[in-house]
Amino acid sequence: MRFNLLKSGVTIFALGLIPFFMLSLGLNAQDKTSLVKGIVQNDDGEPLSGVSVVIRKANDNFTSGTSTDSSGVFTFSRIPAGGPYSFAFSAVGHEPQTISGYNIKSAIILSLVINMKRSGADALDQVVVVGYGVQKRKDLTGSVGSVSTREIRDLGVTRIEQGLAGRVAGVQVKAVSGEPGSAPQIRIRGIGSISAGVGPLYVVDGFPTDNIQTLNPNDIESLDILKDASATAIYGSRGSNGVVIINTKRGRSGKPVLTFDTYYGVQRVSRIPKMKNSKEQAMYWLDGMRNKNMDDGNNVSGHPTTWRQSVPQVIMDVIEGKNTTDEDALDGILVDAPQQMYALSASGGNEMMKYALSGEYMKQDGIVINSGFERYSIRANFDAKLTDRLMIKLNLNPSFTKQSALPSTGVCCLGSGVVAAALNIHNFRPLRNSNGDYFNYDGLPDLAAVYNPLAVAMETKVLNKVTRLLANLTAEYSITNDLKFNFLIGGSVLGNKGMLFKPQRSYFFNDLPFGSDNSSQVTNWLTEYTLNYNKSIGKHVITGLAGYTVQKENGESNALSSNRYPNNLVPTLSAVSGLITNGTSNLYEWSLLSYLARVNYNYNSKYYLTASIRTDGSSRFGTENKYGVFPSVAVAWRLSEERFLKNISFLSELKLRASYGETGNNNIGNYDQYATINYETYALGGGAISGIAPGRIGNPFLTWERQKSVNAGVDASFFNRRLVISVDHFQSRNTDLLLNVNVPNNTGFSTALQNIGEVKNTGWEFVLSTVNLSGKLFDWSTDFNLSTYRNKVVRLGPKGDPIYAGNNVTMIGQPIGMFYGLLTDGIFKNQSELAKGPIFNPGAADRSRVGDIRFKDVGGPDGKPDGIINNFDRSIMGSPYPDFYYGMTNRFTYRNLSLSVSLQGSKGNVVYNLSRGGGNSGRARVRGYAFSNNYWKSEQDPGDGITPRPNDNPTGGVRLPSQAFLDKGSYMRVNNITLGYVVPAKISQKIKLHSLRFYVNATNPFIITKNTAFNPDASMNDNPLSPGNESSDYPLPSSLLIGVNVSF
Amino acid sequence: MKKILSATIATCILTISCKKEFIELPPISTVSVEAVYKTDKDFQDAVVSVYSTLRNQYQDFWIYGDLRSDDSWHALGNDAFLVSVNTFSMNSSAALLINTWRNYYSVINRANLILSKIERADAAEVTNKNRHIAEAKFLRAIAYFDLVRIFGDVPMITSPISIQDGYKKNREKTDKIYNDLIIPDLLEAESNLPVKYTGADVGRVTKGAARALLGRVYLTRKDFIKAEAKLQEVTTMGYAILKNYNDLFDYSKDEHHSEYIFDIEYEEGGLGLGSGFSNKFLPKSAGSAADLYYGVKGGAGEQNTPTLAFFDAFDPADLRRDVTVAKGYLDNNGVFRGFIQIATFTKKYLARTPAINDSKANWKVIRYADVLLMYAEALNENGKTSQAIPYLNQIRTRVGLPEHTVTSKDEVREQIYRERRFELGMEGVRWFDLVRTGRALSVMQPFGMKPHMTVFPIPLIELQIINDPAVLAQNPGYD
Repeated sequence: MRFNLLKSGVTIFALGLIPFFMLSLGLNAQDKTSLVKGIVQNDDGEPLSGVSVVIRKANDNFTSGTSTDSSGVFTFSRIPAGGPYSFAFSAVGHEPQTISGYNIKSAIILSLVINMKRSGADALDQVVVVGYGVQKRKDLTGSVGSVSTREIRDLGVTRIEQGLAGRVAGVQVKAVSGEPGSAPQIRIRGIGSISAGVGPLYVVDGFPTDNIQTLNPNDIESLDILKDASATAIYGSRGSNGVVIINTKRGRSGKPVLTFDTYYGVQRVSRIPKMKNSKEQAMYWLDGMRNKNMDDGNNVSGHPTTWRQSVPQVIMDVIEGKNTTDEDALDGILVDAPQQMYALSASGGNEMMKYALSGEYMKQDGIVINSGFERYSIRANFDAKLTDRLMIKLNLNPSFTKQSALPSTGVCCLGSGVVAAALNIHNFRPLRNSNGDYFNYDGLPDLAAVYNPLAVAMETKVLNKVTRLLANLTAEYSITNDLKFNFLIGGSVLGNKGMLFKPQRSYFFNDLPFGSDNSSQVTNWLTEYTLNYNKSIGKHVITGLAGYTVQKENGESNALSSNRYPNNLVPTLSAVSGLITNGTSNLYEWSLLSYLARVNYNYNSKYYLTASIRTDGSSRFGTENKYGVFPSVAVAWRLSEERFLKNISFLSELKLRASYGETGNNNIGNYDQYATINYETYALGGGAISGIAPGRIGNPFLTWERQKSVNAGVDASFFNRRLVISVDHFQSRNTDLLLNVNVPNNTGFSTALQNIGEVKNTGWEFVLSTVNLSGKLFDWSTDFNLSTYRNKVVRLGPKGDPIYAGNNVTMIGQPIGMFYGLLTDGIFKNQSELAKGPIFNPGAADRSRVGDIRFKDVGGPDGKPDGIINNFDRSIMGSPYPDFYYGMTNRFTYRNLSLSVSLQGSKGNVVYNLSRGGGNSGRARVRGYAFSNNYWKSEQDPGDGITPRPNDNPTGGVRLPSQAFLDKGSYMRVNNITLGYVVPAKISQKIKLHSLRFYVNATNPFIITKNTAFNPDASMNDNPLSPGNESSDYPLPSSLLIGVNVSF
Repeated sequence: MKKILSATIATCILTISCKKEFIELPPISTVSVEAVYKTDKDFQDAVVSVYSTLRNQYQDFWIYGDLRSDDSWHALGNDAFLVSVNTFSMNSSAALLINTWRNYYSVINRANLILSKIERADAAEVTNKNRHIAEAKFLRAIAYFDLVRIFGDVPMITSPISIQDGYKKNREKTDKIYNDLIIPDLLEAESNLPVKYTGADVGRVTKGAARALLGRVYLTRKDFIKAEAKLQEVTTMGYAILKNYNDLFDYSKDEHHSEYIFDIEYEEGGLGLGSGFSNKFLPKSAGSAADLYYGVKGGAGEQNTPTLAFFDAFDPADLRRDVTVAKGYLDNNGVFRGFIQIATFTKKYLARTPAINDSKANWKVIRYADVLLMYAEALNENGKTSQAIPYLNQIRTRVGLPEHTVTSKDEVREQIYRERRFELGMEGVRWFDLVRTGRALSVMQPFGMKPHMTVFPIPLIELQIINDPAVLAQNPGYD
């Protein structure tokens, strides 16, 4: 028997009698009634719990209701025989369905299998978790992005933040490192701070924290990102960088469901830069040395090994074909690495007691040899209804992670990173000698001294272990039907243990063996008391919240190290017989005490008003500025509810939103307000004598950074929600930015902390969700988002001095951290071009010569071009910020097959390649990128006109920060392709499974970019002052995973 | 139920009642400035930190004293900044300049803080009050002496200043800084410093150091009368040159010998107290030779190479030549081995070094041989040429050279200048000698020096921070 149903092309199968059900039921065949039994599934064939099911018989007003249990099963017993009956199904986030025309025969069980279709991406009744409460999406007045677990569960993400990539407008997720266990860089709505941290606040089950590394992504029920200040202001002095609210899965009443999830896959480096091969590198070397000799006026007519500044034989061997070795060191350190995950969970319960339990083991080996990350985690969430009025929720989440880390980054040379070193080694200098020993890259005539990267990876030990217990308990007491009191107590204990050992070896230049041992323990506790009021009077709906909360953190850390190991045998400090050469321990604490309140009002689901306020007092704030107040207000108008729009049939929803709010950023350091003493030592009498000196200048006015922000938005949907559009515009102004302001060095200090900066961010966010095709068998939907922001520094220190940080500058009128250096204008191809200038450092030994870069003469001592290239010619040379960034996910389903393709991109930014500094700025003492092979060779053969000549003693300022080091930052990357298959319920239930699903997932399969390095999403550190610097970072893996979800 | 409620309300009230304390958490692992600078021990510790800033600064002193001069160059050529020092094309944005500026002003401000806090201190409690003042003043004086020799006119700051004050500090004429600060500070230091220290105080500044430095200051000022008088006093204090010149650079022996007057102290042992000279000055070509023959671990920097011309200028019989400008090294079998690319290096700082930049080699600020040569110079300039000759000859006979006989004042002056170059080569003296005696331009012009380059550029960053040419302007010729 098969019914094809009705609205919205939903397919429902009523499968007739299923023996499985029959077995489990004791039927009384004598009654004139029968039993209706069914299972409700989602698109993926997984059971849906909590679905409300109503059975009706129109002709005699018979109605009965129930809901599905944790295994998606509903049952109606004793339904009078006859008909026709109809069934109505409704569930949050799903399109409601009604099926009708069923006749029930006495003593014959009617069995139904219902597939419910998810509604559009921002279904109106979908519950959104906001700070200290929940709201339906249609009732939101602020800007909140949501990511469902379904979107991210197949991605093989090891950290939940990775799942946000490209999915939410206004949330920029940069995969800056491919190191297992490392976090992506997340920026919500631009850059609102210069030195106080720009990452969002995370709130896990009501507990604010800054570390979510230990969370198991499988445990996550919902991820909601609070973006505008009306949403974040309730988090006060921690809200200005956005808030990510994470809630974990809870049990539902019903039969226990056991679920087993696993995946296994292999990762491989997604992209490696093209470097010079042996011959190219040797030629570059030879030409560089020739140019140096010619610059010095030496004769270069003889054999290069006889020149005054001679070329080593090893270079000539390559050029003359005597040495044909051509091995890329990157091949030696990059490997195919497995990734696997096993998770077992159980959930169920009854009205009084519900549980969701899970355990996970995840292991990701690194694509750089000998690195990796493992996590063991357990979660137990219990909900107990003690009385009709009192409900207790308990969450426990112990976890353990272990990371085999490697020093991977760093630009050049001594003791540097594995990737950086491998990038630097000439192809004719293989990683191992012919006898298999590690090659020793010290004291070579052709190559700058560098640790053997393979040896660093294999022979050093760097281990980090984290143990964590995250726990909280909520008591919810209903004082009246409208008024609830909530008490939450939460705690986190985070222990970190690290060790490192580097033996003494020739390939480590015989440096003394070095080992260290460090540990830290951070305990954080929170108590929170809130009152929630909820009342509807006619068309007026009012909800209120008032609360008081305190949080405190204590941290302690210590580190010991020594280089007095007698040998390489024992890596722990037990070997040094007490000769610790460096040791330290530290304690810190911070506390926060807050009052908060919020009122939501709406009239007839048409006019909305939200107002909130929070007061934060913190130990971090200076004595003169102890408390901050953070108000917000927001309004919304659902035009589509107005009579004049009600009749427009294609319009499903139209809402206007506007908000204003004030938030803060309290990441200002725990004790930065105090002028503290530094301890220093000096050698007197042959030993270390300790001394004291002021470490900085105190500031009792030191306070949080303030943000004032407005947001305006439109939400609209059309054609029965097949087209959903959302547009937001925001403007925020961050003042009192904490700056380590440059102060006159004649004070003995170079900087002092002051609340003195100001930046502005303005931006637009566009979200478009469409259901392109919706048929009986085939569905296709698309979610697209595009965001843009402009950041501008308004005020900077007392005098507006620019802040120089490496190759970046932060100056008034410009975005934070623009690239700063000399502008390039090709090269001097010949003597007559050189004669026209402008010349770098004229008259000096390193002056510009033919073949060197021609820089643009943009300034001079009096601000006017002076024909000379020097510091006055430095200017802003590029932006690390994209014009816009975007993400798109396409989902296709065909019968039980589903395919999802998600991508993200960034357009218009540039990257500063620090890794070009070694081999691409003239000296061939480290390996260079291949893109510069067409360099200037002679006036007759000037190359591509852009690439300067090699020179062992670079001239013309070619090594100074300039546009020559800038690389393209635009890219479009397919983050993910997932193909899933749900085994039809008919089959899975035959083998006594609730559901069975297989999937294949490809991560980072393609990227389109003109970037020359590993990864255009580069940022070697989190410092907002120096964004977009590439530094041979740990490359991103591509992976292919195969996974299975089974539930019993 | 009621119990739970009342318990939570009780906690609530409890936490609220102590809220003021709850959010007042002073630092645990450090203390604020206000809590210290009270006891004798506090001031003693505070003085130590003034020395420690000088330790940072003197890691780079060779760049000013030697690399800038004709005695040394950055032969390897891979460090653009060091090359620019050689070629007189140094940029005012060079990190060295601002580091130097900040280091010296850090010395000055730390000394000023001590001097201002100790003023009100009870002498009964701060038992060594006068010595602390004397040390602080000596260290402040040497900072200003170096500053005016490197940068010319600089801001003269004599008490703790606020950030706002920092913006208003004009450059002061060097004459005024010498007359109002350097000389009075050193004179006060001289009168209150002890002649000698023992135990854990060895290495602090002494009366002799103050006198010797005063001699150098007077000589720099061409005040030969006062220089002669002050240096004469030093000759009566029991100092004596070592018998064997090479022993000065033998780091297996105590560096505080009879010729030692004042060093910046460095100590090995992974304590962050070591010097970088042993690593930095060793040629790369020595490769593992650094480790094998000299026990210098952590690699070679080859940043500071004595010139071949300097080698050639030595009398071959001069026992100082090999340690000052070596052309190779003796391997384990005692066989002399030269280098391929790099012709020369200095062995004056070859201390056994257990890890990179962890050498115990001190930086000799002033030693007795220098005092004798300065004394000879002052005597000669004061027309006492025949009295000057024996001091010059003391230096020459130690290193196997024949004695000079009395000739004209001008010839003796030249001999003293030459002798200073060979005696004190690669010890940070040459450049300042060239400038002091007015020979810098004639000697250094072939290397690219221009007349305004007797001083270095004011650091660009400081100019940008002050951002007011009326307060702080660039040295002429560098803008």
